[in-house]
Amino acid sequence: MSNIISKITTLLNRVVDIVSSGSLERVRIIKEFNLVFNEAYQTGDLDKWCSVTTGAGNQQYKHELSSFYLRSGFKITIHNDLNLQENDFYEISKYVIESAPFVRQLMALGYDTLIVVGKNTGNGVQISLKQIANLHDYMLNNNR
Amino acid sequence: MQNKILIISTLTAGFLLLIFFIIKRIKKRKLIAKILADGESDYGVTAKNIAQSIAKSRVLYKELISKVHPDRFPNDPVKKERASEIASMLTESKRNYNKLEEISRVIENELQ
Repeated sequence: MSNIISKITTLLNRVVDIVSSGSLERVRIIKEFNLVFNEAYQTGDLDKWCSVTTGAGNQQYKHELSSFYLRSGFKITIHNDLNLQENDFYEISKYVIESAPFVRQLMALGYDTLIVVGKNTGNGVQISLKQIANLHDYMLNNNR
Repeated sequence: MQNKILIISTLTAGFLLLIFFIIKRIKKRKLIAKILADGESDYGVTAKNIAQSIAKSRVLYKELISKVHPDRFPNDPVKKERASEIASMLTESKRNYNKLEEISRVIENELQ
């Protein structure tokens, strides 16, 4: 049942993404990440089964290019999370925010919160993307 | 007459607001396009790097950092200095598998 709801939510999110931004970029990024994470898990490269969706972001992390807060979270769900501690979620998030250009790309696509969460335990972390890559500094540096 | 002035000023204000909104939106679109162009356009490459980094970068980092330990070059001050530079590069990129692989090639070329 929860799988059907999740599929319907993903479909609705995709439709809203295409209609609101007029492009397929958000759909493309989610699709590519899911493809790679699935493949990495199936081949045994990655021991964590991760999936990426758009979720509700944190309103306090809003920036100039944020989408509506219900769709501003870049959410990585870890399905086999029973043995993970809070520190592990934080550690995984560090790999995602490692590259500032990628974080800026996420921000340009309307995301303001990186969410890494366990599917079973509900534990996880929320990271503010604007604290990792500041758009204001980027604009200033590019206008010089 | 007063009504006409009121209508004209309202229309002008509305028109100016519309222009302001359109300019703001164009600027926003340009900024988004620039940011997206600055990063890797193939999200699959980024995703693959992140997945590999989560899975393998810790092991690769440990392996490489031991190769550039300054004590390995006691009689060669030039290599010793280069090793310490590379060690800082490694520490900066310890969670980025692709960069670690690039540095690995530098180590092979310069320190082996």
